[in-house]
Amino acid sequence: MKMSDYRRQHPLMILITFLNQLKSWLVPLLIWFLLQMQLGESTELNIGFFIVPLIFSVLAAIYSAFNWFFYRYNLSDDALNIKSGILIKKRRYIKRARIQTTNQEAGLILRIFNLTSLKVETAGSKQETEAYLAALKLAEATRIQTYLSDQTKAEKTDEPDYKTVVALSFKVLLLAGVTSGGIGVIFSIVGVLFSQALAFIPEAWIERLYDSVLAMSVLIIVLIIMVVFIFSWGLSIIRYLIRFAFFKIETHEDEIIITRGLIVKRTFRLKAHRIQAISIIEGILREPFKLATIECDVAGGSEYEPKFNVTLMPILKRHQIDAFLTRLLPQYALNFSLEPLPKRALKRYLFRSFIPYLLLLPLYLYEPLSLIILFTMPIALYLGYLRYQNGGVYYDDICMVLRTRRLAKQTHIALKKHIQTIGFTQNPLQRYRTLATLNFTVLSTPSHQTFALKDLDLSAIKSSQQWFQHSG
Amino acid sequence: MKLDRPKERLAPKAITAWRIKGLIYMFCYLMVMIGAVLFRHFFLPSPFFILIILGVFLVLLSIVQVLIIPVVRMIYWGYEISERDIDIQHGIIVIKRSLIPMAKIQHVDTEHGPIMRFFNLATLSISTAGTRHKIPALKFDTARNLRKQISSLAALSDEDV
Repeated sequence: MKMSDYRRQHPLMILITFLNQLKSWLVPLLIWFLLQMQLGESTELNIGFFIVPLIFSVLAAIYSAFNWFFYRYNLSDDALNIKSGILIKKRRYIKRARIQTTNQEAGLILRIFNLTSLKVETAGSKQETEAYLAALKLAEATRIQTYLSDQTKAEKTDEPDYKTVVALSFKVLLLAGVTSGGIGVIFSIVGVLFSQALAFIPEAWIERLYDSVLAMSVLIIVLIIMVVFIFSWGLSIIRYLIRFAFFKIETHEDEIIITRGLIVKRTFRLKAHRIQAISIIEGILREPFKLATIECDVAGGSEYEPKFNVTLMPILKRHQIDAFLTRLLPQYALNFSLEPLPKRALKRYLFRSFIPYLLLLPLYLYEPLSLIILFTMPIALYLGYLRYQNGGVYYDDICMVLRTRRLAKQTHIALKKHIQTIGFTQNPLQRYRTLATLNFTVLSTPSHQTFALKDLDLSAIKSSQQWFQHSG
Repeated sequence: MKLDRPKERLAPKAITAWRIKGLIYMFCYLMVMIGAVLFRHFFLPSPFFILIILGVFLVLLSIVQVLIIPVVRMIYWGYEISERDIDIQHGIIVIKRSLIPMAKIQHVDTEHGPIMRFFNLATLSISTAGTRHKIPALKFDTARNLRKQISSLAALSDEDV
C-alpha cells in the first residue's frame, strides 16, 4: 500500500463515536425522562417514553457510520491530510513542522480490540486537539507517529540547580495586598451575601430596622458603609496574602519557576522563550505610589504550565522594572518612547466616557432624582482624558509596545517575532476622522490574546502594517 | 487618507448565496411571527400593537438581511495573498483588517455547505496557532488553488513558535 493512499480508521470507530454521541445526549434524555414522569401521573407507560430515545439512538448510529465512512486521512508531503464531513466537507492539512506532540491513548474498549487512539497537537491551539483519530491499529498509529515526528527531539531530564531571582518579603506582599484592588470583588460578594441574608430575616424586623434607619443620622449610615468597606478590604488583603504567600522566582537554564501560595502551593514552570508578551500593569491604587505588577502571556506547552496569563511579579517599584527585566528576561528590557495619539482622538475618548450618561437619558426623565449621577461626570471625563493621554504606540526592529488604560494603566510589550497577526478596525465615526483601532495578537495558553489601542491615526496604522510586512 | 481595499474580490455569486441564506432566515422569522400570533390567540391575550411592532421589526430585519447586507459586505470584502502574507479586509459597519504572515500559518481548510455547493462556492479558512480567519464564498476552483498555494508558501518558512 502506498503512503499517499487515503485510508479510513478501524470500523470500531463507529462504536466509539456512537457511544460518545449517546453520552452527549445523556443529559437532555434524562431531562426528557424526568419530564415524562412528572407529566404522566398515571402508571401506564406511554409509547413516547421509549420512542424518542430510540429515534435518537438510531440517528446517532447512522451518523456514526457515515462519519466513519467519510473520515479519511493520508500521509504525504510531510503532512497529515484529513478529509472529513458528511454534509459539509472539510479538509485539513497539518504540517509535520507544526506538530508539537502526538499521543497514543487507549481506553478499555480499544484495548480489548488491540487498538489505540491518536491525538495530534500543534502549538497554541489548546482548546481543541488538532486531529483526533479515534480507533487505529497499533502498528498504524506508530506508523503515523514516526512519519510525523521525524524532527522532534527527545528532551533530556537531569537534576536542576535552581537560582533564586526574587523572593518577596511579607512586608512587600502586604503592600501588594493593600493596593491589589481585589476589594471590588470582595465588596460585591459581601453585598450579595448581605442581600441574601435579608431574605431570611422576618419582615417585622425589617420594618423596625427601616424605621430605625430613618431615625439614624446620615453620619451613622456612612459609618456602617465604611465598616463594611474596611471589612471587605481586610478580606481582600487576606485573600491576596493566601494566594501570593512565599512568592519566589527561580531560574534554571531557560526555565522560569514561580512558586506561591499559603494553603495550596502552586508551581508554575515556563520556558522563557515561550513567553509571548509582557504587560506592565499600574493599578489605580498602585499608580500614585509608582508601583506596578508584571504579567505575561505564555504559549501553550506541557500540562504543568499555567492555563492563563501569569503574574511574573506581584509588585515592584516603577524604577525597578528595567533591572528586573534585565535579570529575568533581558530580551524585554527595552528602551522605547511612545508615539502619542493624535489630538483629534481626544474628542472621541471624551465622547466615549460621555456615552453612558447619554444612555441613562430615559432614567433622568423617569426619575429626576437620578440626575445626581451627573456629578460623577467630571471623574468619567477625566478618566477619558487620561486614557487619551496614556495611549501610545511604539515599534522598532525588535518589538511592539502598546500602552492603554481602562482603569489601570497597561503597557504591553511583544517581540516582533511573536506577533501572530496585526490588523485594525474602523467604525463609521472613526472613518469620519480617519482614525482606527490598532490591534495585534499573540499566542496565549487557551488560544490567543489581542491587544488593541483605539483611535490611532490611520496613516500611523498603515506604517505599522508596513513595518510588520517587512519582517526579518 | 482613504482605505485602499485589498485587490482580490469574492465570487460575485456570493451575493446570491447570501441572499438565499437571508431568505432562509426570513422564513424562520415568518415562523416566529406565526408562533407569536398563535400564542397570543390561545394563551396570552396581549395588546395588538405588540404584534405590529414585532412584525415591522422582523420585516425590516429581513429587508436588511436580504437586500442590504449582502451588497455592503461584498463592497468591503477584499483579500490579497502575497509570498509574505495574507491581507484580509471585511466588515459591514465596522471594517476589520488583518495581516497574517505566511510564517505563522498553521493550516488551511476549505469547507462548503449545501447552499455554497449549489453555487460552486467554498470557504477558505486560515488558521494560525491562535486565531482563525475565513474567506467565505470563493469560487470552488479558486479556493482549491489558494489552499494549495498558501500551504506551499507557508511550508517554505518553518520556524518554531
